[in-house]
Amino acid sequence: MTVSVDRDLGSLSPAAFQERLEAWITEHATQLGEVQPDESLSVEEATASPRLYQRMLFDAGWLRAGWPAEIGGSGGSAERRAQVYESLSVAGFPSPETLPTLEVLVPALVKYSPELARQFVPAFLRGDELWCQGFSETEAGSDMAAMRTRARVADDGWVITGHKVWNSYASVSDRCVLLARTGEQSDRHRGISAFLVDMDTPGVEARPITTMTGRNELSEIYFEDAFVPADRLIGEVNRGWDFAMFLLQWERGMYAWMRQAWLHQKLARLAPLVAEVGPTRELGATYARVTALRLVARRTLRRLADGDFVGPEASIDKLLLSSCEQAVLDLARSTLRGEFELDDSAEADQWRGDFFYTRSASIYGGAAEIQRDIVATRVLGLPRVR
Amino acid sequence: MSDDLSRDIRAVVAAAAKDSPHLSYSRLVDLGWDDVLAEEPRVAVAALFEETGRLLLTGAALDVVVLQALNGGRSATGTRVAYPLPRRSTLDRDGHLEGVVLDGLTSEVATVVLPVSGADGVVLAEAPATACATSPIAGLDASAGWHRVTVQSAALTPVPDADWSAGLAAGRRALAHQLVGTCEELLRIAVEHVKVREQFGRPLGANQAVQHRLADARVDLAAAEVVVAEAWLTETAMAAAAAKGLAGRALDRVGAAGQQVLGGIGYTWEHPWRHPLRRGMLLSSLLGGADECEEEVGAGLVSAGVPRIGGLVEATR
Repeated sequence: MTVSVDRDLGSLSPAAFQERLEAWITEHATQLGEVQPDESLSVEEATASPRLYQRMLFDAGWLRAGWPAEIGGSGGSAERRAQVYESLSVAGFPSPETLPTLEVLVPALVKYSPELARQFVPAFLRGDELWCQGFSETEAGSDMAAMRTRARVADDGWVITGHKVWNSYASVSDRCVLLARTGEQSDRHRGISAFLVDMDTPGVEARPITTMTGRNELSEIYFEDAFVPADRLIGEVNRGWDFAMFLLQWERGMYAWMRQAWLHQKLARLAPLVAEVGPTRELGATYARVTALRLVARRTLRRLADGDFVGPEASIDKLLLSSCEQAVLDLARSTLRGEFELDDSAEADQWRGDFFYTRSASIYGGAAEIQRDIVATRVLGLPRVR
Repeated sequence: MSDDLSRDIRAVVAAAAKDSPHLSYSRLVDLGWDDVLAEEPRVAVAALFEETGRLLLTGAALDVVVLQALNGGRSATGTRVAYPLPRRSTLDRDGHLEGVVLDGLTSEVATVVLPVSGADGVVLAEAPATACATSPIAGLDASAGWHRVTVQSAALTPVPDADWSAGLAAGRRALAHQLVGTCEELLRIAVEHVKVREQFGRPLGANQAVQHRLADARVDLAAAEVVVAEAWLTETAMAAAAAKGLAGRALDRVGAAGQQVLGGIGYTWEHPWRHPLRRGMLLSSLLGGADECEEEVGAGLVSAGVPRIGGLVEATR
C-alpha cells in the first residue's frame, strides 16, 4: 500500500492536524479496514494485523506526533496522538491493540533512560517490535512492593531469577520492561530496579495464559538466571518504583483516553439496539459517566503533556475508567439479552469477549480497592491506620 | 484571570452569607452580579452557585441565569420565573397553571414567566404578577423559601422569540453547580465525622469499609464536577441534562454514604447533616431529577446518535 509520509505533523496546530487527519482517514478507509484485527484468532495468529496497522499509522506520520525526534517522533504535544486515537475510533477503527502498552511504557522510558529510549524505541514505534510489562507476581499484585523476582549483580550486568505473571502479549513480545528486586526484601519499594530485557535472552520463557474471554493475551514469564547487560538498567538502581509510578500516570491519561474513545464507539453501536429494547435511562446514565471519564482523562493527559505531576486524583480517573468499562458492557449484556447468551455469530462473540475483558478493568493497573484506599487517604485525608 | 474572578465572587458571597442566608435579587445586583454574569457567565455561575449550594443560601439567583439565557442578556429586574412542579408540566388545570417560585413575589416583581406545555411542545408565556397567587412551601425544606404559584391562564400571553430549552439548559447547569456545592458540604461533614469519632479504639475513617464508601462518593462527585464544567463550553441540551443527572446521582451517593457513616448522630434533627441533605434533595428535583435527566439523555442518544462532549481541538485549555 502507498501512504504519504509526513514527518512534520507534530508541529501543526490542533485544528490543522485534525483536518489532515480526518482527510487521511477518509482517504484510507479501505486500507484501514484491511488491517483490523480478527479477535477470534489467538494472539500468536493475530499479531500480524495490529503490527501492519501500527506501521501504516507510523509511516503516514500519525504515530510520530508528540514524540521527541530522538526516538523517531516529530515533536509537539502528546495530545496530537490522542486526536489520532479518537478520530480512528470515530471512523470505526479502534486503535491497534499493540499501542496501549507503548503509550504507557515509552514516556517513562524517555524520562528515566533517554539513551535506551533513543536506541530501542524507534523499532517499537514503527511496529517492528512488540514489548510487554513484567511487573506483577503471584503474591505481588496489589502489593507490588512485595515482589521477589531478583536481579543479582554479575560481571557487566545482572542475573534475573523469578516469575512474573499477567503480562499482556508477553508470549509474542520482543522485549520486556521488567521490575526486579535489587535491594533487600525488607526494603520494599525502595529496593526495586527497572530493566529492559530481550525476550530471546537464554533463561527467559513466556507461557501464554488463556483468559476467560477465550483469548490468550496474557502470559506468565519465567526467569532462570537470565543475564541482562548493565546498560539495560532503566534509571538508577533501587529507583524502579519511581519509574513505575511515573508510568502508571500515563495509564490514567493516554490509556484512559483510548478506552473512552472505544467506549463511545460501543455506546454508538448500542444506541440503536436500545431503541428497540428500551433501557434508555441506563443508556443515558452510562453515557453521562463515560463523558465524565473522557473529561478526566483529557485533564490528566493535558497535565502529563505539559510535564506536570498528576497527583492522587488520578485514582479517581482509574475508578471512573473501570466502572465505565463495566457499565457499558453490562448495558450491552442487558440490551442483547438472548443474543449475548445464545448467538454464535462473530458479533455476539465479540460482545461476550468485551464483556469479560471489562471485568478485568477493576483489577489491572492497580485494583479498584487500592484506588479507593488512595482516594480515601490522600484525597479525602482519612487516616492510614490498618 | 478567571481564577481571580472566581475567588472574588466566592469571597463576596461568603461575606454576604454572614449577614443573611437569603440572597435577594437586589443584593445580587448590588454585588455587581449583572455585570459579571454578562462578561464571564461560566465562571460567575460556577462560583455563585457552588457557594450558594455549599452555604445553603436562598433566593432567586437561578431566575437571573434562566432569564439571561431566555432574553439574550436583557435585565431580569421585575421578572421572576415560575418553574414546573417536579414530575409535572405546567398544564392548565381549571383555568390556572401551577409552578414553583424560588422566592416570594415582592412588590418589585411585575411579571412572572413560565414554560407552558401545549400540543406544540413547551412555549414560554408571561403573566402580570397581579394575576399570580403564591403560598409558601414547607415540604422537604421549608428554609429554602420556595413558594407555590398559581397563575390565571386567561392572564397569560406568549413571549415572542423565547426558546425555553435555552433557559432549561442554563438552569440545569446552574443547579448542577449548586448541587456540587451541596455535595461538597455533605462530604466534608461526613469526612470530618469519621476522622474524629472513634470505635474499637481507632477513628471510624481508618476502616476500609468506611473509606471505600466515601471514596466511591467522591468519584461520583468528581464525575458531576467535570461534566458540568464542560457543559458550559458544549452548550447543548444533552450536556446540560447529563450534568444535572450526574449531580443528582452524586447527591444520592454522597447522601447515602454519609448517612451511613455518620451513624446515629446523623439521624438526628440537630446535626448539621440534615439541612444540606434536605436542601440537596429539593434542588435535585427541580428542572428534572436524575432519573428524568438520564432518560432524556438516553432518548437523545437513541434518536440522534452518540456525541462526544469535549474535544482536543477547541481552545478550552
